[in-house]
Amino acid sequence: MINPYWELIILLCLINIIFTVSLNLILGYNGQFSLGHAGFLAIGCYTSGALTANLGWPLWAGILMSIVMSIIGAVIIGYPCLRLRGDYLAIATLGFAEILRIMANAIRPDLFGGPTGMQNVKSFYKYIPVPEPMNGVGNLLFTILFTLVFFALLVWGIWALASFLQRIINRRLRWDHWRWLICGLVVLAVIVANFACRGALFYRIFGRWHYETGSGGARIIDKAGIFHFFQALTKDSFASPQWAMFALFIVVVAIVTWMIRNYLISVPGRAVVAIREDEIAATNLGLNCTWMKLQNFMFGSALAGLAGAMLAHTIPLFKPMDFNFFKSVDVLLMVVLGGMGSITGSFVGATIITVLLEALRFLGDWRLVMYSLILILFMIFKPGGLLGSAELGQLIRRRAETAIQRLVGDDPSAGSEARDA
Amino acid sequence: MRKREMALQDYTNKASMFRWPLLIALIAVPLVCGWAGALFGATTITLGTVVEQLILGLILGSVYALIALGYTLVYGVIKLINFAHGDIYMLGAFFGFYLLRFMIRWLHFTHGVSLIWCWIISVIISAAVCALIAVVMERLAYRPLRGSSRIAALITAVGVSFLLENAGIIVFGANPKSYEPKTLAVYQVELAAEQSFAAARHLEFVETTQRELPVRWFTDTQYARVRLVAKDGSSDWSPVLEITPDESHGYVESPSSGEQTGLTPPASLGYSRKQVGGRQEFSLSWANAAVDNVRMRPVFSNDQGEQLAVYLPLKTAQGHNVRVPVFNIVIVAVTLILLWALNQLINRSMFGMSMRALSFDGDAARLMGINTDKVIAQTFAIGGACAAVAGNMVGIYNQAIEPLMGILPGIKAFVAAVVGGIGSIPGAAVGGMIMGISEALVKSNIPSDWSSMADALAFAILIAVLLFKPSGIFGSAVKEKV
Repeated sequence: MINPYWELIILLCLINIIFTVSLNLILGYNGQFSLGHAGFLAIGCYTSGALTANLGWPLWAGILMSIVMSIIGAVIIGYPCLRLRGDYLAIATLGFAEILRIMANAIRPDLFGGPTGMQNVKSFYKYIPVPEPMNGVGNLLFTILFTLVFFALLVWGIWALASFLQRIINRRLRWDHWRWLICGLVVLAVIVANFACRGALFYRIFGRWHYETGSGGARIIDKAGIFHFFQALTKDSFASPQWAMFALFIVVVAIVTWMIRNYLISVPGRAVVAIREDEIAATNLGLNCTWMKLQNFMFGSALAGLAGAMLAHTIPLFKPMDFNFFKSVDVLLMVVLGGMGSITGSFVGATIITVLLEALRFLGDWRLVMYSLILILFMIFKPGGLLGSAELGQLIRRRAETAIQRLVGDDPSAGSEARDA
Repeated sequence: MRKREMALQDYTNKASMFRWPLLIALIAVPLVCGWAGALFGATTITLGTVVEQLILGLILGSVYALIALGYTLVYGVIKLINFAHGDIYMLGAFFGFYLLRFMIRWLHFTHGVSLIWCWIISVIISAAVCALIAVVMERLAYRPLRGSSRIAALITAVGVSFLLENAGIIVFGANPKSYEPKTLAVYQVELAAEQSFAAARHLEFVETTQRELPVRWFTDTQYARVRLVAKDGSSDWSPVLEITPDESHGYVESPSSGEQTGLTPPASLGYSRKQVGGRQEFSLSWANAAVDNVRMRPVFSNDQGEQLAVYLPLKTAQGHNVRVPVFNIVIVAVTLILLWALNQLINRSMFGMSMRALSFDGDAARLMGINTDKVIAQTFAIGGACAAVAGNMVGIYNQAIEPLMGILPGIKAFVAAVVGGIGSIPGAAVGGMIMGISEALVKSNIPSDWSSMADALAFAILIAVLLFKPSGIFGSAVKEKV
């Protein structure tokens, strides 16, 4: 059982993954700059929301229509701009998103809710029939899964930070194992912090296991934690079809990823990457560059529309201001942080930014300042993003090769130098 | 020398190839749209109305042209959409806001310099500061990325814009501010250990009536008094307030002097100490000055405080003459002068030539001994200064300024630069005017609940231009080299 607040954040992470992947397809794989991607999210959100809530369409038709509408929007905006080289698409999509936002504010408040937004869209929860006995086990399984993901990301993040610092410190003080020292220090700091606040850090993540047994069955007293293992088999958990939401979203993300992977290794996908590398050379190979770019843009926008439709049925309220320029910058940062041209990178970037934006809320007004500083510093010091254009498989293979080289090779420091360079 | 002349001629020839059909279409379409809208809106159209709307359009257009200049120069030189440019315009307006108050205090009040000169000086200083900021921005954010991909630079530009907006919200506050001071109250506070105020500490506050002061100043008994400073000199001092270390608060009131005219000191002065989280805080506060004492007249006004304006012999639909405030003429004139000067600079000076060389081929320019970094920095400086001037003029025209004011004009100005042909100064001017006039016509003729849709017009124009003539009105189609 996961705290409902964090459940929403995890679902948003999964939606943002689709959204980020859709932009990565345009920006990372095709090199076209879309600065108004939130516009397509808005199309998806409003189409599905208005059709299902206010016109009584079934859910599947709403989602399908939101994809279709996004594609139509992509053609309208993409055809004039993608014929040209340069940053016209950026400014045109930016304008397009603004127009959509203004229209959502002004047009048909009975249908789109006006500036206050739509609140009557039915959540996926209302559509999912779930057998009750499954709930407890399902929730427990997903709690375990997300705990593992959480800690994997945490460990990887600490490791990446340590490696980065190793590279910097190594310039002055040569020692190959700074990173281990740093990792150890971070772990020690966490343990000390946990002791210093008398275990609150632990409770904040896992909740407390003190629970009271009353008339309604066992209930957890402390709801501040994220992963309520100890709540997973209680009555609250059996009443909540949370796992079904997670399963649904993960399945959609998996299908989208699989589709994109297949697309990218197919002929059109390779053509799209070729256009990114050199448009003139691609033209000379006989590719219809405009059509290829448009096709790719349509595909990306359709996925953004899908993400929007899912968003509409996940969050309790959306309003035009949710789809302003900041949202487009958010998704841009997700793509850039993860690495342009890497699906794994999009997963990492979307997760990190979504969680970071929530975690930085204590900063108040400074949150967005910090956020933009991160964006600038990232672009200056690591323009390729965390993963560059490498996928998970390539990363693991590269690591494995280095490790094997170290074990087998005569000169172990050579491998480490090559990696550090 | 011969070569240089040829290059100049080439450039001017290109610029003077006017694309009449497109230009006419771009002006005619919004005119027709606007008047069609007016038919439905049921307002009668007179020549006066049209002229009024055209003047509004010219003003908007001037502002767009000035901002578009920065976009177009920077894009011409390093092929980067400088998204932060709209925020430099915002910063210009805010620096002007503070500088104007400073100048009024130190020049208008004490030396009697006229308000217009105060404004001009504050505009010049804020333009210089914004030029500096633009250069610093280029140095810190864009120069490290000179070698990397254009997308990286573009994302950095978005990041810088985001940073300036959010920092602006923190530093200036999110609420709109009134650019021209309607009232300007300057309070002088003196603190001293003796009642004679011999070795007094002088403090001065503008438009504030309460201030936290360091607690360590008040460890032993202090005396405080306050007075108001205005154009006609300063008021009498208020009665002396005795601040003792053991009292938590106290205040004095000025004697009300009934029929007294002229400057009166603030009606009361008080202090309070309080414990906030184990830390002592001391604050001094005083009453607001009487509004009549501190009222300011508009910058462009006569001695009676009436706004300077010209009346045209044309009747509007309401039956009165068309009124054109002098400041509106100033906006257009300043824009035209700046555009002309810059065009001369680009076409006639060594700097302009090196800039054109850089935009033509950066590597070749470097090989010819042009200090490209310096030229790029200068380009940013020029753009920043123009944006700051635009920001200050909009401040007086619109009155309200806020930290997010730069986003929409910034985008529209970029669209104007694209419409006019990116990289060309006449293009920026014409593009800005087209955008401004069409926006004004549409905005004033469609029903008011649709007026936000006028913002969408800019992007409709952009898409139309990209469809039919992507290189813009003054631009020439460039073949990309392999």
